Amino acid sequence: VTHKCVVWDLDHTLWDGVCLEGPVRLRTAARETLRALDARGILHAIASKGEEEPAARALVKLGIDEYFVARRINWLPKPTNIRGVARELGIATDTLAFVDDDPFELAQMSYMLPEVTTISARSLAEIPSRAELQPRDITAEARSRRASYRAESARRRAAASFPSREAFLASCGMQLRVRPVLPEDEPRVLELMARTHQLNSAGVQGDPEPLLGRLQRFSTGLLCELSDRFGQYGIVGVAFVAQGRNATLHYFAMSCRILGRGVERAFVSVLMERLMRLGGAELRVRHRDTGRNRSLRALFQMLGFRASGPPTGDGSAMLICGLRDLPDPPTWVKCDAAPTR
Amino acid sequence: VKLAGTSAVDAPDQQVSIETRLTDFLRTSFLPARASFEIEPDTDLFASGVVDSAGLLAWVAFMETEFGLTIPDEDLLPEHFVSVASASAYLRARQSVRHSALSRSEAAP
Repeated sequence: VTHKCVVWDLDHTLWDGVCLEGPVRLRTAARETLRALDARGILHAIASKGEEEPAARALVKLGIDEYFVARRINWLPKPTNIRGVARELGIATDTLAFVDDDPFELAQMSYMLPEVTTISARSLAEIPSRAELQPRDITAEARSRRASYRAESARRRAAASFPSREAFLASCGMQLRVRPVLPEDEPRVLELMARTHQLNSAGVQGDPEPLLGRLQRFSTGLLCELSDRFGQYGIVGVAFVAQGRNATLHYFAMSCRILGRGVERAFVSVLMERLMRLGGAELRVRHRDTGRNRSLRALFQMLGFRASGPPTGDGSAMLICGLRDLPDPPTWVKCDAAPTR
Repeated sequence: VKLAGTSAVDAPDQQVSIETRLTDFLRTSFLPARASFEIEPDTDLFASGVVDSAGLLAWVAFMETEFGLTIPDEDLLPEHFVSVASASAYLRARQSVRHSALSRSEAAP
């Protein structure tokens, strides 16, 4: 599995010297390593002992502060800080790599959070060639990922001043465009299939390409693109549906990056409306329990779907919903669906 | 003889209502620190954008830990979790089932 974020220690790892004690110097290959991973869509964050202010000044002076989307520079245990980074970015801790020069910190991380990949800071130049830091395709979304995480934190800071959460969400000007999957979308669709875990109806087992091939043979692919006043998020969700009286959602995946604003409800609402217009009386969704995608089941059940019976041997449940009374999509997402073919 | 501190003894954790514990969690987890609005017991948490599908799971995990029960997947339904009032009712119903099961097993010879 490709990692989504590298979390860095600072003193003796990213730079030589101790920030609180005097000037520091960027270590060999540090800048190139940060740049190379960033260009692949891998995020950078900081979990370091020390004080926020002097470290922030050093990061600016060295010209690398723009790379970091989350920072925890304090005296808390690093596993606590790394959990905070994961929460802030909305990603799971097993998609993180942690770089430190101190064997104790590396060992403590493995002890507390064994799912985090630990990397010794001995040679920064070798880090970009590690297997877990090789995304299969570098898409447009990947290249602008850092910018959209930074926009997201600006969005969070803006949230405090509104009279309600709805008013805040409405002010964001979210637009969701739903359209068929085109051949040129395939790299991004494969990336979504491989990277999403929570809102993924099937889970991920290795290479998603054969699954995509199968889905395309017997169902229609639809994707959604999100934008708001902070920027473009690109393709954030994909679904494969078979229309008909008993319509089926064969596959559903949505980026965890955009969770927390109701966009997944909007996407499913658009899909349901479309399938209803194409003559659907009910919609079925197969949910294969992967241990990580419980929120997918929660999403569909909250939209009115119900399990048709106890789970089968492979842990999958069929969720069914009539298409007569459609759920109301969130008021703050403007949906724009390409015409039905 | 007057017993000192009786009121503290009389005010164990149960005095903090289920509603308050749920609202506090939702406020600290999903609203900005200085939000100028409140979550009312009957606020529709989904329509008001407070909770989404991932947020619901964080909230469910909190309830499972805080109240010591397991919430099965098939119970993740709007009638149970659309508001603080409905979640409180769900938790009370689950707890009373457990208590009556407990008292039955204690009463058994």
